[in-house]
Amino acid sequence: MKTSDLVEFVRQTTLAVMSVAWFVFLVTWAVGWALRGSPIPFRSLKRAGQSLIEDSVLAAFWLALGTTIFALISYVASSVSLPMPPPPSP
Amino acid sequence: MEILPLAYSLSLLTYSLGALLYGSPLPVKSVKKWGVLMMYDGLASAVLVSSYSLLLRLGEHLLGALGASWPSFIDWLTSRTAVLVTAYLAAQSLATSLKLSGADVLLELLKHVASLIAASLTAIKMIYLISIVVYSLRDRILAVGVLLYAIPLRVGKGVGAAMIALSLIYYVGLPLMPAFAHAFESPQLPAVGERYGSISGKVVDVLERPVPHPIVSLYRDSGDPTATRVGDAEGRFHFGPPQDLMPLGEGFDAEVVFMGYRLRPDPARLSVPWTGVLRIGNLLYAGGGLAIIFVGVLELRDFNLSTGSVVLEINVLSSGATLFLLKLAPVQVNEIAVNGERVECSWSSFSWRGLAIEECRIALEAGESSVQISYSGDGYPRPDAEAKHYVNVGDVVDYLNILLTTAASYLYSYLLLPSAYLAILSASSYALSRFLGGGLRLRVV
Repeated sequence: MKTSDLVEFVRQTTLAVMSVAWFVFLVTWAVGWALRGSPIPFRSLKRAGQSLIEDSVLAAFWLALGTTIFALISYVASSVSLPMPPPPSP
Repeated sequence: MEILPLAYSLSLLTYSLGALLYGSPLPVKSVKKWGVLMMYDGLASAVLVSSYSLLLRLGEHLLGALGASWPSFIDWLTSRTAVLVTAYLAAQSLATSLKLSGADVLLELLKHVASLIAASLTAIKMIYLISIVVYSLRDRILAVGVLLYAIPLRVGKGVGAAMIALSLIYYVGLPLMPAFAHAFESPQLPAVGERYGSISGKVVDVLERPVPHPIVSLYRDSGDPTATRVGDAEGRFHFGPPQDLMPLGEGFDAEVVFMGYRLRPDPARLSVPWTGVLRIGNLLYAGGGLAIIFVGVLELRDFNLSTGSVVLEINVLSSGATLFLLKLAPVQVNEIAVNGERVECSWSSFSWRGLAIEECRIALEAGESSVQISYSGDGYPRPDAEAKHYVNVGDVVDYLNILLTTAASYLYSYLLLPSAYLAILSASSYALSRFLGGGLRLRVV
């Protein structure tokens, strides 16, 4: 197997993972609201529902921002590795 | 480099997996924790992948800032290897000399020296191997380290961090070793050739013709000869390494024995090192196993030597002189004439070192005489004499002590110091890998 095939495979897997993740976030969000709005009078259950909603929103936020963050990292790193401009001469 | 895109996509995968775990509907704390950790890992490995060329340039930059460079380090290694090889060869040649000259007792001490030098040489070789690997493979080591680092679930994170740290620390650290070892530089080992010399040359007769197979002896004092050598058919002889160990400046009295007679050469006093011609003023070797020794004050005015015939014009300055005719037993002397008159000579024979030799004496009166001898004979065989070798034991023991001290200091500066330095580098690499592989905690969320 060539390295490029491997790269392609990893990319496909990442895409699959991402689409699964969106679905999972939706499920988490729904479960969270269901727990929070359920007629069971347990505070801990309500709190778990609340934290599930928060987690799903935050995870969705970071996943959506993921590609942007990676692009930013590679941009910053590559601009740091550029040669420094010469100091100004009087 | 195809590894880097793979590492980059792996870090993206790690990040997505982390987000998936973090946003999963399982209300378990450890799963959430793992999710955050994996998101951090993905980001960290993305930073490392993106700064791959930055890391490579960082090494160069640090080296430049510290004033070290790889070519000068390789030069340093090569010159140290040369020093050690020279020392090893010196020990080897001394061992050969000791073996040939029969002073085997000192060999044990020398074996110790040789093993010390060999250990230092092995150490230098090991450093050389490590540095070659680091120098030629460091970009690949770095890339593979980044790839291992980017594998999800922290499978290769420790190894990857160690490889990244190693490629950086060793690349910068190894060329600094000369500066580290500089303070403890060893002295150059004195070579055998700088301490011991030779006496070699050629024995010739009064007419500057070579004397075959002369037995040349050197005396340090009266008594038995210190060293003895039998010259070759052209009269050449050699005292010195590898058979003899004669310190430079030591003086000897020389003596030549030929056909049973002890003769005094010119110059008679030789001091190491010496190369030249030992001339015997009162010997004439006619060739074919016939020699003439002059006794008395006389002057050789003219001569004519051809195969089977000797014609000499002699002016005797003292009241009388004697010619000793020496021949090997098989040589036939047909006629001896002094001033045109045939002379009968009574030959007396004796045996000397396996050669049967006959001699007769011809008395000459004051004034000019002409001597003619016709004879037939062939070569002069090698006399049966053993060569005697000379080793100045006191001096050799001194030299061995110097060798031992120097070899021990080599072991110190080329085995112990570099090992300590490599240990320091390994410790630094470990620290850096701890920093990369888990020492640092970043709160993403």
